[in-house]
Amino acid sequence: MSGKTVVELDIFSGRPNPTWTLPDAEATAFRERLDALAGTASGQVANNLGYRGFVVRTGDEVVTVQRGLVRRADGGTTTYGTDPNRDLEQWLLDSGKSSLDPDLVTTVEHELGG
Amino acid sequence: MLEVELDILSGMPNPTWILSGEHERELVDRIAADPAQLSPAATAEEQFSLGYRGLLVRTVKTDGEQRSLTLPQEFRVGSRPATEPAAEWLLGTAESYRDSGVTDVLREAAAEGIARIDNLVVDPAQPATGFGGREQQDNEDPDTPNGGGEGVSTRGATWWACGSNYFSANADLFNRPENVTRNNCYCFASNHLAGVRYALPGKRGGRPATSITCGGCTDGLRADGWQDGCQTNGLTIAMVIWPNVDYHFYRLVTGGPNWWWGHKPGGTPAKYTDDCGHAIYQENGTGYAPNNICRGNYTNFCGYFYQNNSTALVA
Repeated sequence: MSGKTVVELDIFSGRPNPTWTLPDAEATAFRERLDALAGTASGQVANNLGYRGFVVRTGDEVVTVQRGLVRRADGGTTTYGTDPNRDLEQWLLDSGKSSLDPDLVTTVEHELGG
Repeated sequence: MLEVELDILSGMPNPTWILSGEHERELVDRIAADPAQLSPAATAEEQFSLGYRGLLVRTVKTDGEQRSLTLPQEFRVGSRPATEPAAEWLLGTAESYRDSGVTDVLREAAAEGIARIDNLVVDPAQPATGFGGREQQDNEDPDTPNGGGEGVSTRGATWWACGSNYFSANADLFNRPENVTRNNCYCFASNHLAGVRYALPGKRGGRPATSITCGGCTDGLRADGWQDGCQTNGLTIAMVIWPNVDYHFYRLVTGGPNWWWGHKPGGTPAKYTDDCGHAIYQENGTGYAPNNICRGNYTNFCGYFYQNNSTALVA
């Protein structure tokens, strides 16, 4: 895996979603967390209005982290994993907190049960 | 601790119970043995009818207690196939909790299996029957030819009486892999595959919306050619606002008597259902229109707008 790791908070419908780039150390930490997740046979990503989780792009790989489900798509391959207790989701929120609008942080934290 | 909700009722509260430590540990083990049987508590792709919809399990935080470290905060079990379904065992635990509210009648209903909406039903091309299997639960009536809904004077003309609306239930087109992430709600509403992930009202017309309010975005719509009254063979859309945060659109995709609406949340697939799973159409003056559906934080309904094109260009 090479290239920048960019995180997108998927929450808006019309406006651009907030994005930020993970520093190298955090990108590595994200990769380690991702690789440690247990796999699952399949999953369905919701497309509701409002908060829809995070989309993390590194090179051609697109990782969607949403409500305990993790979908990894890389080229024509898609795999699924579980995010127990939504820890990875919370970690991604924390990685962008300093640059996010506080109201959005509150909205997402509410979704995460905080 | 974990709370279990038997998702089966519509108007009345569902039965709930708190699992003991022993039951909680066994649930964790059963889920770990077959995690594929979990699904999100709510997802547009998994829609249910009236009746048994599985069991919702959520972490309930109490003072001083750690959250569960091995399960999602909230999930559904019972709607996915499993070799040893945890849902059946979990429903059985209700017998250990005197106040669970799970009666024999409910157990028998659950034993009949999941009441799922066939995806084909949530399709304007199919005959409309029973609002996708859901009761209408909202207090507000839909805007309809029969005079329901709020007054139309502040929200645009009566779309059902235009007589020459342009219709195209083409979510499939916008949901193709090459299109779905590259077109937003405004692109879908405008029926324009612009390849613009963040199309903004007014940008194409030279006066981009200056505020995320009904007024600000309406100014942008007018710059893009949208008008308040019926247009010949034209598009019909509705705009809603998450105040000062975001905008969202719906497009009328079929004519009467059912008047289906579709929408596309950001870069995700376009669909004909709302955030509660209601199919957005009506029959005989009851049912759903953009004014009375579940819209999450998009609480401000700005009105209906029209343009005399089958495609309204956006940027």
